[in-house]
Amino acid sequence: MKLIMGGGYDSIYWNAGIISFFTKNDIDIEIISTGVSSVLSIYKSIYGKFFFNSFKTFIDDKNNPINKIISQFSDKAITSSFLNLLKFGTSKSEFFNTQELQEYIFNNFGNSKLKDINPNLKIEAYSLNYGRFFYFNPGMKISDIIITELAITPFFRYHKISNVNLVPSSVLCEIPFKEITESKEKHIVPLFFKKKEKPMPSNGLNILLDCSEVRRKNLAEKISKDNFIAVPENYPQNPYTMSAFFEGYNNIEKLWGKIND
Amino acid sequence: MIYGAALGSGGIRGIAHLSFLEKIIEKNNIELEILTGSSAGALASALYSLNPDSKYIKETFFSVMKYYNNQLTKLMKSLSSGVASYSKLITSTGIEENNILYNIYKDLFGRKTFSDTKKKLGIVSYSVEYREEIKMTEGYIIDAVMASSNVPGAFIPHRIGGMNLLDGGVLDEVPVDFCRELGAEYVFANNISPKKVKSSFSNGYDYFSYVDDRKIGLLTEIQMKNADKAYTFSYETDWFSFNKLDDIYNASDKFYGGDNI
Repeated sequence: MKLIMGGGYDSIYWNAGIISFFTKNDIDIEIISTGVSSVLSIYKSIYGKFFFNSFKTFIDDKNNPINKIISQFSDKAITSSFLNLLKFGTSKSEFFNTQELQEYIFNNFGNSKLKDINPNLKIEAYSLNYGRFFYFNPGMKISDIIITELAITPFFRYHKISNVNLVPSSVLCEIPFKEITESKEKHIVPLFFKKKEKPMPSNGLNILLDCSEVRRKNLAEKISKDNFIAVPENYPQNPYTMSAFFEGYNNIEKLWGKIND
Repeated sequence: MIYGAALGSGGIRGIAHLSFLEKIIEKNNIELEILTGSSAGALASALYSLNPDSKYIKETFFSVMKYYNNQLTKLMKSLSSGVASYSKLITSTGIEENNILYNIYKDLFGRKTFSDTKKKLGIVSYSVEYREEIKMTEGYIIDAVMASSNVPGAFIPHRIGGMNLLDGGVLDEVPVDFCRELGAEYVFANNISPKKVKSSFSNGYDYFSYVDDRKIGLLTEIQMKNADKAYTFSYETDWFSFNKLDDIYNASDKFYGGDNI
């Protein structure tokens, strides 16, 4: 049994709580990740049990471009700005400056490679040019992996490595695609999904953005339906707080108990 | 054996469904009892369910399309106007109001209901607020087809049943599972919107649309795998290229008339 983790920015704390449950209880479970969970998985490999303190320092750093997303509290504020939407659609392909993200991550992780921290770490991404899911090989630079895994549409543009345009699988499907669709084993799949109903979006572009999010989640639900699923019982008002962390921790604790009963 | 067909979305490429239906029936010597469709597939399956005669449907459909040729040309120009149409997307819930499709469907369906059909009919749509697929098997056919072919962004959502509805292709391009739910033991699926990979994007909207297209492709792959016999017709053109009606029909006739079925 493996832990199959994905998610967008809003699932950072929830997923951190889930990994913390396993590290705190010394449960050695293989993680297959995409999106923000991949950054958590890398931090776990580097810092072990105490990964969350270091990860929190990373996301709380005011110079970290992803801190802007977290402090603006969800995509709602970002996508409601007329100017943001206009720039995104007609020129920029991103709400935030992808180059700033690249520089920040390169400065923090330098040239160290995946094999230096854990050669067996399975981190999935998607090649836009080839239309394929794949795992990063151990020789890849951690900085390139993190930039790719944070290149979540529409916040940041895809990351280009040797003319291949890369995004995390979570941009398409919320969770890693390959393992679930290729193996017959049952896995643990945390899904940070809230109640489906939502007020009518204000304009056509927000309708498209919303449909896009629903597709990503619908695909994850379809491929993971025969697995052990953890979903929030009480979706936190602000997902970027410790209440989301504990929601993740407590949910996975209950699910783990049921699985092992 | 109860045979069914699930017909996919694809705008004007949907004319290919007529050749498809004619040839699978002729070559397999079968009767189709159940039809499900999404968007253009909803239109084709509704027409066929009311009057299972491909040749008659073709003549009726072509004459209606020719009658509305000038208005369709205007619509085509509006939808392909780049930045201008993108700006409309931000200021309204859709670029156009969908009056032209309403007029066409009124001519084709009048006040016919699902209970008037000679074959069992199922049409899929998508609710913006409930963020889920809506399966329709009763009521006025014009309402169901209008909702199902209401391309997000292009048209403002269609209101019926207390919901704002959009194109069935948002989540279910080729409704194979729905066809089985309605009782089909053997399902033929026809996908008329295969996805192509590309590596460069003209702007953020183009990039976003491409990423979303990949998601739809993955959702459709799942449906196509669930079919007993799946066909994919490839004709590269925008869904609103109404001026290519004849070309698409001829290409599809050649495709399905050959050894592909």
